[in-house]
Amino acid sequence: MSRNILLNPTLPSSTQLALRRAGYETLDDLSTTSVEALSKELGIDISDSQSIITVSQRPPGPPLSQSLASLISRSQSVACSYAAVNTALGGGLPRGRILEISGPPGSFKETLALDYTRIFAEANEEVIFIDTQNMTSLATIKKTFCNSSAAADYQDLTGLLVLNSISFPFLSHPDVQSFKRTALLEKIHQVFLQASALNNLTIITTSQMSTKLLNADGSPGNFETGAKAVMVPQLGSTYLPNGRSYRLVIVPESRATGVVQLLSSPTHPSGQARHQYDLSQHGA
Amino acid sequence: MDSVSLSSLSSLSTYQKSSLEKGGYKSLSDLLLSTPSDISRTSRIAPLEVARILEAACRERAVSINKIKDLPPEGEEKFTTGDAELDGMLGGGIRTGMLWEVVGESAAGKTQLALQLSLLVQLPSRLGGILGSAFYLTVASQLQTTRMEQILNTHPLLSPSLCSFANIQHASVPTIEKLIFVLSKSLPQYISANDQNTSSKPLKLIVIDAIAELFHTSKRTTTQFLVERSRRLSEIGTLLHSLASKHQIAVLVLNEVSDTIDRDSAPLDSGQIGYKNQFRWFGRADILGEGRKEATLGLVWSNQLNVRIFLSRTSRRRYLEESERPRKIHESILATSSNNSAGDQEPVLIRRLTVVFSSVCNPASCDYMVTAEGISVIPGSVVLLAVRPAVGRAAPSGSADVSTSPGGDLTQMRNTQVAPLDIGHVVDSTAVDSRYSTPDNEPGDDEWDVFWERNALPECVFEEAANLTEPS
Repeated sequence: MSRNILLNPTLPSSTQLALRRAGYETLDDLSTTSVEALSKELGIDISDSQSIITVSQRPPGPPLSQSLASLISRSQSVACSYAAVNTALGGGLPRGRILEISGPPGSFKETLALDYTRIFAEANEEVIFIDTQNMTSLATIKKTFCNSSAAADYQDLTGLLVLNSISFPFLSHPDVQSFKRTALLEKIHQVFLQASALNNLTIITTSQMSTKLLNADGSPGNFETGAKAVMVPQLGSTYLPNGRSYRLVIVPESRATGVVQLLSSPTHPSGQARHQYDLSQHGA
Repeated sequence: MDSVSLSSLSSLSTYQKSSLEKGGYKSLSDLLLSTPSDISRTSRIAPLEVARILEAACRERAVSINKIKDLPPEGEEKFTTGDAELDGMLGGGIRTGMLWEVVGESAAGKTQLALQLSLLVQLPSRLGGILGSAFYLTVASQLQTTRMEQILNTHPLLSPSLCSFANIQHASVPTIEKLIFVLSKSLPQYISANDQNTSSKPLKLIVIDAIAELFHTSKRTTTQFLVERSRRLSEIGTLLHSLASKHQIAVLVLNEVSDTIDRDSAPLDSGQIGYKNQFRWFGRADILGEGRKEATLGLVWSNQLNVRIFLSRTSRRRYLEESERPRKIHESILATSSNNSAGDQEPVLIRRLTVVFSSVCNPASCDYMVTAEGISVIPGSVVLLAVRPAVGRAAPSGSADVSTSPGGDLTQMRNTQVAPLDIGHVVDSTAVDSRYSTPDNEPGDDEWDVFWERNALPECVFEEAANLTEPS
């Protein structure tokens, strides 16, 4: 377990921020202070101060109070049911990271987001699912859970945020100037960064694609000079914190097969890796 | 779309509201779509206070996040298409709260299907309906009331006692502006008035016939024009989704096709995703060489849809077995072929219906005919094109919702496309066209039409135009 205050999952985020503001970076920094001194410094109760000091003194390792199930669920990375996706992500999606899944209409991006939803819910973690384009209805989500062990009760721990069709709201005010759009994307970037870093929240977005016209030499073109048209995720990368985000594109090659392509990852800012998928073999 | 006025917010002080008004901000959208520094500058409010205002306004108007168990059921309401096999293919029927598109050549049966659904939605649930009413918007055509009457009188599920024209409202929307006005103002008003009237059926189906007609033009296309067109399409899509989800309405939009033109294009670099390659999978029905037509309005419109259903003409005809003949056929006049007095039937034109993509069912394809009672699927002709694994389960060998013949990717199948009865009647296409003069593109007198037909712009051009002002 990290000694960095910001990444410690047992301290509430308000406490983490208060500690950071007071200048404490890691739990070790707290070893020089006492319960009373900390309580005065942060302006908090003695009992709260006591719990902070206790956390800082705990030896590194899994806390004794957590159950086995929750230990497993707090594992480092999450594997979904699609082998190609897991491979593309280097084994699984690490927690507290952001995954953008884009693809043309008919690709399985919403199904993939729903798959991750099921995994988090089965691990007893809350998922906030936001659908903007009528793609995944309440009925569809409920059907997902009738096949797995009941996920109606969960700890008050939000593990996953899903933003289905995040690109769609950006089309609702098509006359908004591009600098305003950029400002909105940057605001989302900030929110994502904070939520994933401070709360270890995993965020998954699905996005539609748009077309770019390129000249034969690859430079941006227009409809007079353009020699080829390529598809790219609609929102661009502004809204995604570089060091924490994965961008995946689903590229069908037939109705049941295709490739999953990693456009970028925290370790590879511009990836090209492509992994074959076959939906008829899914689960095999 | 609901606009929240700033004056209605209780968390803002009067002084704040008047300053914001002086700065030109009337609604919450105006605020949220501006940068905080802009707001600070134009309304002369300190940046820190602007941040507090935004926070307070958002908190006041935030949509609450509900637990699944606390929400009313949503997403399972569906009504029949009148044909059990088609219902199965579509995942149970036409579901409300979604945007459906039916795209196809003229005379493939799009309007038939729309008329049929406007009647079927009115049925009680024991017959597969949802006791709803319909709103039919026409762009360039007239509402075909005679044909609707014929369907009403011949379809086995429908009857004048259960369905009436009174439950189908009609409006004409010949321009984009008119359509946007109807969707943003007239329809919401109609719906709320209708909801208060306890004796009328709630609106459950909106039809637009046909959206492509709004975007025909013989004007010289400029970049500016294309950008504008793209934006209006997105605006229309947003309005439709809003209506669909807020009132749990099924929105059915009819679209047209254009010829697929194979254009040479520069080769792709590795990692690049080619628009042309992909369009094949979401814009065409692409069945064994019948993929010569593609949906119009490009990727921008395709992105808006939850379901795309493609209706294509084929050059096949068949004689019908007694069991395959839709009921009441003897008493009625077939819409597309004729009986001679000896009772010998002419072969009927077969058409193909393909679910190209759908958020609620698997891609699949079937044969159908247009008869007096509307659309009817030829039994046993449903073919699954791909099985989407249900979340959490391994791919089943066949989905419970779809009745299928041995499935799999069609390109790998034996030639089950041509049923034995068809083989003697693969009529060559020129003969078909001359017998039934329902041309897809009426040649225009306008020389611009001819010019644009010869120099048709690739659909992808419209996408690019939309992106010209966006950062990559």
